Amino acid sequence: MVVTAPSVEKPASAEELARVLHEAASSKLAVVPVGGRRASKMGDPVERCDVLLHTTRLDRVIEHSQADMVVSVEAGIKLESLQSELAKAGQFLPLDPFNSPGHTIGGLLATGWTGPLRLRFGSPRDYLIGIRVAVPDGRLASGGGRVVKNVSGYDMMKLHYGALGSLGVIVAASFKVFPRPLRDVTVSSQGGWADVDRALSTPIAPSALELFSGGRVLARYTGSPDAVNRVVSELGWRPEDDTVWTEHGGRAPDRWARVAVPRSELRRVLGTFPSGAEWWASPGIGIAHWSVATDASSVREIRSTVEAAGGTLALLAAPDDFTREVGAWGAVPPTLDVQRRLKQAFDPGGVLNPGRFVV
Amino acid sequence: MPIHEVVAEELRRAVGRESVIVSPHDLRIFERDGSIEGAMPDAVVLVSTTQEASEVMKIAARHRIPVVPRGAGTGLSGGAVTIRGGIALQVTRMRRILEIDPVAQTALVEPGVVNQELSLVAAQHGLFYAPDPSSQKACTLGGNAAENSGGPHCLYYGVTTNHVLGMEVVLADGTVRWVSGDAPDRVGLDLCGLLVGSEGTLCAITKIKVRLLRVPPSVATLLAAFPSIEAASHAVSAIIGHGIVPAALEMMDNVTVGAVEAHYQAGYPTDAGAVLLVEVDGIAESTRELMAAITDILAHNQGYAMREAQTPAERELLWAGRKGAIGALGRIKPNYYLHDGVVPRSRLPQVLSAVGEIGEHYKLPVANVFHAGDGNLHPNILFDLRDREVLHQVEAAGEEMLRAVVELGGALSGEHGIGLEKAAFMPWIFTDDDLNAMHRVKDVFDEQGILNPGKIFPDPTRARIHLAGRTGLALEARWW
Amino acid sequence: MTIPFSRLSDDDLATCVHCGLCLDACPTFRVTGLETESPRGRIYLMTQWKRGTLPFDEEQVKHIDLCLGCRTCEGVCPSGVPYGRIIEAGRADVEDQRRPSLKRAASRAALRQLVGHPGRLRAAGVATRAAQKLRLTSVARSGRMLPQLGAPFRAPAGGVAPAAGERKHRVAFLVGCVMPIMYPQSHHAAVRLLQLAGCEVWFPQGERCCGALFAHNGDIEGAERLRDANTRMYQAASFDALIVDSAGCGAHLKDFYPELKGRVKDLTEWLAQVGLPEPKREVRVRVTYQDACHLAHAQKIKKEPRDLIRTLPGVEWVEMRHAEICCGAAGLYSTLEPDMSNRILREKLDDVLATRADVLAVANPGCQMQLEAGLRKRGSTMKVEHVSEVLARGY
Repeated sequence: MVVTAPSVEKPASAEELARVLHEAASSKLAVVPVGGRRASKMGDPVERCDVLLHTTRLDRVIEHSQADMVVSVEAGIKLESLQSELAKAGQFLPLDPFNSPGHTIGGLLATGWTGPLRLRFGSPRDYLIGIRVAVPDGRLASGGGRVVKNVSGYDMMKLHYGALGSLGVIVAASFKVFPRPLRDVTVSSQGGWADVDRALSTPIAPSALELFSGGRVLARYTGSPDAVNRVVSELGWRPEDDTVWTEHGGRAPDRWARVAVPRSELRRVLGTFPSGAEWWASPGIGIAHWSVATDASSVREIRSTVEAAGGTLALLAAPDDFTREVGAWGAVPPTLDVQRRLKQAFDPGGVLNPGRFVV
Repeated sequence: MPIHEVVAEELRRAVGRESVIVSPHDLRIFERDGSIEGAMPDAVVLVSTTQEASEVMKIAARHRIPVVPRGAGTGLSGGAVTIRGGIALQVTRMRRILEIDPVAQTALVEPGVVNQELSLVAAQHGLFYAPDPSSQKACTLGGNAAENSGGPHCLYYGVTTNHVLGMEVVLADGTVRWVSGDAPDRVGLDLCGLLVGSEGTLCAITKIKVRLLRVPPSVATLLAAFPSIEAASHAVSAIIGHGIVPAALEMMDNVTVGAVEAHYQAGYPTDAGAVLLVEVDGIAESTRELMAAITDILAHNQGYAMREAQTPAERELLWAGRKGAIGALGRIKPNYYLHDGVVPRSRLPQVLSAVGEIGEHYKLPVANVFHAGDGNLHPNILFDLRDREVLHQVEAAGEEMLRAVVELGGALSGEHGIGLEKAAFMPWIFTDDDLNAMHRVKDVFDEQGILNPGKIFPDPTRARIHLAGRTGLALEARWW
Repeated sequence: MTIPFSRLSDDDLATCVHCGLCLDACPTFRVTGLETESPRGRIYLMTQWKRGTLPFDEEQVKHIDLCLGCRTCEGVCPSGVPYGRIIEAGRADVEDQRRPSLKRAASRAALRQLVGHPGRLRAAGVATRAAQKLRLTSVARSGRMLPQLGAPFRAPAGGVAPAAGERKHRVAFLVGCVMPIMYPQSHHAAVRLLQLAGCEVWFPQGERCCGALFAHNGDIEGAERLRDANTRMYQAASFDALIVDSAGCGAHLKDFYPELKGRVKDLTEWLAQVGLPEPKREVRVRVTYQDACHLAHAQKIKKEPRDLIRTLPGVEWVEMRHAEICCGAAGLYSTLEPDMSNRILREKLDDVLATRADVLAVANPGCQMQLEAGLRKRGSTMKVEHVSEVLARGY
């Protein structure tokens, strides 16, 4: 096999991107979509890469209707650019992924990365209302729309969200956005799990709640001022500055594993981690991020514990050799046959991100 | 086409003699759901277990017979109508709540469990199931998941798909699979998300794991009158524009209020051009604060006769009026034809005035009762099915209203599903390429095309639909 | 012979918009899961018969037969479909069309012979009581369902029971056919409560069966004959209200006796209206309540019996799940459709037992018989009492 440097394509429109993708697919060239390169180490190393297909020139806000609280954007727009556009109207997208800044919207949708605010607002799975995707045969296919409630046709948003570009390249998306909360307060404690339980049972639930392996707890309450003030004062924790979230969002370990288990299993599962393991978690959701400092075999050991608890351990970043040794995804899903047929239906030549995802 | 005796025997062996209905006279009773079209199934098969559902599907696959899952049959888009005959797969006997986990705040249910029943049982643990379609007293959770149903409280809490954690499904070949489950961020494609809302065209649902929420300690419900629909629409935009997302924000027009008041005596002001029902929940501090702000906003937008429910009974009565509104319209005319198009919220005044003009043009009474906060319309065209002449008018008016919705940037359906009713309109909002992608999904799950055929996708063999030309209505029209 | 299906009103049938909200309120739908055994399905069937779009099919009459006539569906119907009127008309129409059946004819004849004539049911009661004493009841299936019978209720000499203290009202009291034999203690308690509430209670002489059982079973003509006889008797007297402590009779009198309009009152409705004196005794029992269909749905009375019981000092009230759903008794239904009746009863008993109540309060003799028999079969010691008996515990 002759290894040559992949060609780099930076189309300026969705149509052009679809054409490039189609041409590559016709020539059986392997295509790796590229956004903000924040999650480029996620998944198994690609088997082949002939074309690096950048979405970064697709960076427009297509339409923001302030009154409707709906925004449509091209996939290559950076999350921060979108947030500052929305902020002008007192609105925001409740998405605060790690390894920020620099994520593109397309990348976030393809990888399914989320952050602490998922506790209150859910993931983009819950507020993505429309999507446009380029498929290897050169078609541009849309699903959903620009209205906040819609059951017209299949939910194509769910099909592509978190599919790591395995079925097509996301070129545009529409979201339901949210008004900036009237009050937004963050407090912290060093009380570990006991304080996690306390914060989760306050009369209004926190919008974000993070626990760190050292026992630190960060809780964020948003909503009507009187309610937030009452809850926060009852907790009596240390007030924190907003910047604590910017700092937190910047976290990105070199060897990074994401553990996702049923919420009620998280504490037990984290208890089986090697002593001194560094992690942070969203206990209200059931997700923990682990900065891996052990060898591949102990990661695999933890993975079997996680899978026995009904969860998954996925590598979000690691050197290629390490990823190959551990395997990015773990046990294959029981519906792999159906998923493969879907892959076959959209990407029969297997040109998109070959070998990177489970299908 | 009556079902072949050989197939009937196989079905009886699978589910028991008592659970297979093939008498043509009885089958007639199963020809409709909550919409107005109908078509007879060739057999009704009652299943009690996943295993039985799987056996029935295998038999159907072997003989290439259509299968249409059916719950309570309250759907409003013809989703449960066996338009190409075949088997109506009745899941209403699978009505056990298998598990409620108060710690994890989840429930595992069979598809025939009635929506409201789950919330009633969950209430013992201080929990509730958020999506609350207006038919929640009768509709099943299986139907809700298949249609991705909404409801008044979905404005704040989200629709069914946001609350389904996982499902056990029977695929077209009869194999039983679990998709997703309790843990977030599962590896692989999100089949669960894809299957919720697929209207029985990709699988039959046999178990559902749903998320439950804590019952909010405080709820405040306000009824406000407005001189006109336009004024009420502006008030809706004003509330949302102030950064307030109430738990529910519902509108009823004058016609609806009259019908509702006649049945429920809920104290709705019958002189109003429109009324809004606004609800906020949370803790006492927040509901008090929000309700004060909302009252203020409404007062500045021509709101009058504002009344906050003082007791749980009063609140229930206000909601009973809203949830029973569509049925109450039966007091004006015995039949209604309704669409549930969605527009961007700011387009509400435009679309409602278009709806009014269309009704006037066709001289048909129209009653509006809908989820204003979501921009989700429910214009009910009222008529009497016994009047044959009016059918074409009703159909044309309905189509024009939906057209107006689409022209204002809207979508065909917010919560009822495309079903039979709106399949022909899909090309209005989706290109060939868009539909091609959906077709690929359909083919992956249902190669033989036996799962709820004739739904969602426009039928090329029927170039143009006419209500009266479709089986059920034509049949009913012959009554006179 | 009348024109086929001429009693069914097409306008009544047309009020159904086929929305399906009634389905889960229907006991037979809840246990079968079948559209054909639901109110919407039955209306659809009768509509097609009426309009001639479906031929009359003897086989399909079972769907009409299986209706309990509980009218729970009416309470949840947003379109105001008069289901009770539809099903009674439909049943009468069906009787003209269907093949005669020995079983039905026999039960109808028995009804006319036994209930339609004063004295005969009483005689039957005496015979049953004797049989029970001699332990002969196992010979008759229905005999096992019956409670242990005591001395039947008899009106006081002179036909009047005086008010306790000052007379504020004069009421007529429906003695009826079944209650005085099966549950005389309920009547005794009811009369005592009325007296305590300042009512002079008059027991009309020559009262005949109200006709409810006839109307519910498709014999409208039989019901009309009884109505006319009773109406003549009531019109000859003066009273503020006719008090009924059996929900089935009360509903029928309200619907079927235009001359008594507004004056027929259920016992609980009346007591809630005129008020009872302060109870004298603490009632230390855990009580739940089963709605009688003909009270909750036909007469829309749900709150009064609950409020009256709840205000008794010391009582521990527990609301039963699905209390508004029929127990499967439904008049003659438990005899005519024993299988369905038992399936419905099974679900009902699960809910009843889950309350862990000491006393289950009821408002109709049919419910009482069905629930007593069911509880006994399950080995439960829970008592079934008429609301009047529960209330009388406080005095």
